[in-house]
Amino acid sequence: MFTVMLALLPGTAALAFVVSPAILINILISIVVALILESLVLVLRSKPVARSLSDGSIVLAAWLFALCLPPLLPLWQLVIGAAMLTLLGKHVYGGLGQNPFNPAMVGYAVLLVSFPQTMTLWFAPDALNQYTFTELLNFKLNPDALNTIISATSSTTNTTGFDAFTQATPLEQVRIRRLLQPDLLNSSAQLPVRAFDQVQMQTSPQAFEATPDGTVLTTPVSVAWPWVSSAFAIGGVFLLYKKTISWHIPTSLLLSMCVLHGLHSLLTHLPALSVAEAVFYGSAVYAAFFIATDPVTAATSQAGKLVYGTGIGCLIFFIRAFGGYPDGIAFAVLLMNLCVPLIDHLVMRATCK
Amino acid sequence: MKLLSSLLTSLEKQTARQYRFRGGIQLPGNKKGLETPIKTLSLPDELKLPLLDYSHRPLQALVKPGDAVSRGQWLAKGLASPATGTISDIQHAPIIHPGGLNANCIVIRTRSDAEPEAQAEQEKKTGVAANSKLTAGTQTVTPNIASIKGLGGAAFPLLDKINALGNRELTTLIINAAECEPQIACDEALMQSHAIEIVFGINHLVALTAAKRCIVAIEDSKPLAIEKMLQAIEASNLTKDADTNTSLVKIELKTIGTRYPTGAELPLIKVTTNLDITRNMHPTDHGILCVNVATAHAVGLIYKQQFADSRVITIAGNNAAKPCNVRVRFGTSIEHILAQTENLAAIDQSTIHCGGPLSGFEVSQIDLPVTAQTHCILINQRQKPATPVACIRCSACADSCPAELLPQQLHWYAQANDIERCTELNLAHCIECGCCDLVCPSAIPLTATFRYAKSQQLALTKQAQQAAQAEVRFESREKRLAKQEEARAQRLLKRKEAVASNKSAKQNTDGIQSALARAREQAHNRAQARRNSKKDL
Repeated sequence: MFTVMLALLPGTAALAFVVSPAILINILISIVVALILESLVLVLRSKPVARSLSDGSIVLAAWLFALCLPPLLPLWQLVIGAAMLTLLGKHVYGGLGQNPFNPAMVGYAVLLVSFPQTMTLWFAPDALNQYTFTELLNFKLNPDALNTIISATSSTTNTTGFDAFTQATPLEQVRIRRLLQPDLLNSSAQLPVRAFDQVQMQTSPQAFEATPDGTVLTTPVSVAWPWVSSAFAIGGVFLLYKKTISWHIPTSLLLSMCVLHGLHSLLTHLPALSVAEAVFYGSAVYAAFFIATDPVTAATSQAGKLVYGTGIGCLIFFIRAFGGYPDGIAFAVLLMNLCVPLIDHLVMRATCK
Repeated sequence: MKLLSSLLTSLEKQTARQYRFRGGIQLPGNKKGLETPIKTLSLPDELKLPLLDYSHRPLQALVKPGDAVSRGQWLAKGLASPATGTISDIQHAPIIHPGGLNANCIVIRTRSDAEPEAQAEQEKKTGVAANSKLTAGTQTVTPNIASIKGLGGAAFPLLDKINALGNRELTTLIINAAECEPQIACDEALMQSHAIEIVFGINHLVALTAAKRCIVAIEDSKPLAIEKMLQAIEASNLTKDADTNTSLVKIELKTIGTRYPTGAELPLIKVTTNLDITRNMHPTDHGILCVNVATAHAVGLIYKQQFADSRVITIAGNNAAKPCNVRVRFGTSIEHILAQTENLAAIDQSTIHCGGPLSGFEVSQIDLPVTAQTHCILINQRQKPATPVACIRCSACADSCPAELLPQQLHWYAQANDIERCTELNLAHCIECGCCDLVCPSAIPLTATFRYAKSQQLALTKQAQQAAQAEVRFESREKRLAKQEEARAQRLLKRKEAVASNKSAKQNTDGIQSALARAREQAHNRAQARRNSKKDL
């Protein structure tokens, strides 16, 4: 657990730097809430509190959960999420090692279906940098204050309302950008040109800002997002090196997702995400190394892990390409968690003859 | 061209060496302080021999208290007396067992003055000359071979092992000198000091079994043992070259990688021959036999007209004052060994562990007799055992399992006492190597759980056998009773028929009836009279 926490540090730092230090508030609060609730449950179940807490599993789960959240999620929603994680994700099943679903993803999924608006509210890079830590905390406690600030900013920057300050999730922004880019639509018949465009877009997103296509394009998609994903990837490689996780799940997940995204962008006439965008502008890397590799909820055998990772990769693609949610990591992971007993059973039957 | 061919041969050697078994773990060697030559302990005054065979089935004693026994005499089937003396007792005493069981033990009061006498007797009895020419297959089995037990840890009788081959040809005889577990160095010490005797024993084994190939497998962590063995093997192979009549195969030496547990039978076969033995097969089905190097040495001892009733034991551990390798007679108590090797000092602060650090187990007392299975005694600092926490299904245990089992699933079902599922998951194939225990991040005592589950499994099979037997008995009883009933019915029928045929003949039954009625009346009257007289009193 502690190795995983260590591996989370670069990603967390990158996220706090790129998005906002408010991420750190999220992490801190969810850890505190989860710790309090877990202690309470352990006392009620008359289990040794100190020993159970010291394994660090709940701290890690709360941390992983908080990393998925938008920075200015109202505090009360954050508390609900952390509570769901601890109670519904972990302890209703009997605590550590017994839960079939990834607790962090349970907490996240509950929030996503309950508060879709606040859960998809991200901010333009640098938009939050002008505020101090206490102001950020105030926003979280008092969502009305945030709204006032947003409208005030909108009037000063002379852009149409909310969108100058806030954004959809980074992956969604890239997707919308694609939809609104007529050049890309036209060139979809000519693959070489299109590929060139993609490269250009990744290397210099600013190039697209000039196009007067509406409000979404006036705010840049941060080039910093790939850096966040890379920071998580560094942590993941560290975990692989330490043999805390095996290569099976991350590799199969990313590979299957890339293959499907690649095929999709090649075959469809509609604009689709490129492979690199799919990997770096969502939370795919984070999920591949930190969420899907949770040993409790993943398949146990090596063959099973490959199936499990591939399943998540495919589901991520299908949710992104055809589903209603922009990223779809949480639901992909939870759905595959559901399949784990079946995978384990089938693999066992195949190997234990 | 020359360069290319040499490169190719070196590549071949490399690839030949790189057979790997699945699972297992890399462990640091830690065999320091064991370089001293093998000590031989003085004969203790008392030897205690558990009346058990290799799988802890009770043996019938052939002697009784008060009997005088000579060294080499059978005390029970397959159990030779390790010393001359008298049987002082047959008692129920604690033995070396993970569950701390007691068993019937023969206690021998030894006479050390009779040792040379016994040796002379042995030489007279076994007429085989030590230097007689060996030819494959013609070697006679001397009775003493039956007393040899496998010295690798399982103590499986050597003869049973050879006989398991049946009519199949022995294609490969593998001499197991891997000794893969850290801290144990008894085989290593034996190879360093007795390489020639070992090779002598191997040659006799080859002759005995008519093996087509013989490989000695040693882990690359034992360079000195490899060197000594190589010298002895080369010398032996040279004499084979010189002698054109001999049909004995040459011995090959194979250096294998250090990886625990290469010394286990199936991993060793995989590493030396690249052969995977499937679950329902036995090495002998493939014509393969694995014999421990110490067992081969014991064979050599027998053919040198000596006794094979002792073994080399490693004394080690972080609290051992003087780590060493000692040769001890079977039945010597651990206490005697530790006292003689000056390791008894820190015993109060230590735990005594029998067997290797991974595959062994802790014993709660030191007044226990060592057997052929005891290859190591570890004196370790008393430590608080790690508290096991919940399994997080990390599957590190499954990755490290050399028997390709799913320890985590097994543990799950063993805890739920679902022995049937454990059987389905091939619990019986667990070699109790302890790899899973070592890699488990939650410190779950998996091997101990599996030992328990195995004992449950054994109890269940016994129960099933008994039930089957009871059923057979019950059925045969029912059959017998039904037969009896039928016979009776037949008899009755015959009698009835006879009566019926008589009835018509004799019509005097009325007379009998009236006589009976009279008798009843009389009895009634007599009883009435008695009751009346009691009332009067």
